[in-house]
Amino acid sequence: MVVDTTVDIGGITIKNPIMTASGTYGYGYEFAPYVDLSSLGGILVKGTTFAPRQGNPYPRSVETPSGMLNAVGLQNKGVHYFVDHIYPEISQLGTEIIVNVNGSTIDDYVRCVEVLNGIDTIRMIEVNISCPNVKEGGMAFGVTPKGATSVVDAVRKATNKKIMVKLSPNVTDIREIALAVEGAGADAISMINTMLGMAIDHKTRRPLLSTITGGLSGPCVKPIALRMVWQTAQVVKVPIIGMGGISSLEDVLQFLIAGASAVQVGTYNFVNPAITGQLVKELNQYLQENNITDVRSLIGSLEV
Amino acid sequence: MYSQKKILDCTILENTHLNDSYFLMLLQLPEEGRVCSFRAGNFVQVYAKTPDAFLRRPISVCSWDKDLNRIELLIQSVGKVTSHLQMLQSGDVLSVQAPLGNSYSTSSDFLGSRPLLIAGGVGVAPILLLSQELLQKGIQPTVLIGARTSSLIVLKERFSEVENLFVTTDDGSLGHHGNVLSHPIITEGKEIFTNVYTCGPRRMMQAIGGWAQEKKIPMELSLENHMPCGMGVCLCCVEDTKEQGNVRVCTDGPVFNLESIKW
Repeated sequence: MVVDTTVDIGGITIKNPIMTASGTYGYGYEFAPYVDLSSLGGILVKGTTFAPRQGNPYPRSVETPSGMLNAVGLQNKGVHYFVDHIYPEISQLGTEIIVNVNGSTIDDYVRCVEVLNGIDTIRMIEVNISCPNVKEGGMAFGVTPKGATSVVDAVRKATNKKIMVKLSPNVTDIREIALAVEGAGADAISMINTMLGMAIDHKTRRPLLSTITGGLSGPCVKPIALRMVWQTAQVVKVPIIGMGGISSLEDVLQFLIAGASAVQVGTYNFVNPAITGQLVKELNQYLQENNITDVRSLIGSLEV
Repeated sequence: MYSQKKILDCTILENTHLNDSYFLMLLQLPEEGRVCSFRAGNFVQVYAKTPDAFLRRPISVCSWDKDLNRIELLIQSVGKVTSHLQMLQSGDVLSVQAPLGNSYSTSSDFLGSRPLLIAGGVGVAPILLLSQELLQKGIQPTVLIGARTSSLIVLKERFSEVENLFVTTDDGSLGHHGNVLSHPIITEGKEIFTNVYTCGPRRMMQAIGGWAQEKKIPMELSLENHMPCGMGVCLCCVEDTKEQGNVRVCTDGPVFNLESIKW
């Protein structure tokens, strides 16, 4: 039986819903020993900034129950290095390469996007609005509708590429932020980024992260992510790409049923580097076994 | 030296408890593991099927039998994953992502004719593999193993082909009484070593580094930071270096030249 696994993620169609989360998959080639990268729906590369960043001091991570905290701080060599040295190595991987963009000021986002405009084969940019806004005293752009809108507005004006906006869950009502970014021109919404958390060493009485707090990810956040995807799917029309603790086919199906058109697998890549390739196969098998000819029939199929 | 990397379901052939906290696992790799080659300095990311833990843990490779397709891991029980591994038995299956990391330089642009290998505690693991590599190249390394007390001196008998093997313990319960830097081969300076390779507690390596720098002897050491992924993508295991900023211990290391380290 022929099954159609293609999905629309905001004006572009990808071969299947299985994608990788930025910051957990490097630039893709690192996983070549474990995954047939050309089988994936897409790869969200490590977050890029206009200027190179060293990131936060070590220690940047702590394992927590069913997950981990990270405070990497967007270490990367800047967008010019990405365009000149990294993108040429990955453009032929046979999967959709989506570039994740970050900034401390609106200008940073815009300048970064302008450099990426030069590459036609990059069809979509993921805008991470969880970045602290230095002009607003370090509060993340994405924690208020106004902050979120200001970034998306500026990026929308700066590019013709498709824009996926990655939402922070550290908000009172995710729907407000989702509607704001949709209104400002987002073609798709990805969610959720990490939740703010903390870990303490009781023996030394010191925080276990150099930055004191950090982002929580892994299976422990899945219930929050699912809830937010479902809530958002009730109010927006643009495709939603769900992420947060996905580690199995069941998880993938749950996100699709909640309203996601596609998913990003993140932290679990560290536990099982082969997981994304396995999920592509398992999803296909599931559709076959259940006589589902089109994966899109699962999207938003939750019966309430 | 690039090797193909795999996630291997290995069978535990032996799990030998060496003392209260150290244990040595002999692993049989599956056939697909034959494409992997292991060098001294390489490590593996081990998975423990316990609900108490989530991520893999990095463990140095201490031996590789290419013909029999086996490796050994020397593990110290320090937390949730390693204490779970300690209880595994022969016949159990262990998922190992391997081989990872770079390796000690054994080509002629670094290696001289009189290398000194210094191991501290569980750091003896990669030093054992390194000594085997050097012996195979026809070089007799001098090996110095140090630990707090005799029960923590492990795998000594595996260095049987090394002619100049020395042991130190902080409490004097075995070998020379004192830390590695107090051993006569260091303090009396009778032999001029061409290079130093070391693995052990950070403070030990820093102290040895001070001595090596003073004597102008090139040195390589192996670092150990928390490694969620072990494959260079999460950017959590970074070490700040003199010329390259934050580098990944799992991929740009774990072996580094002394010159690059900012202690």
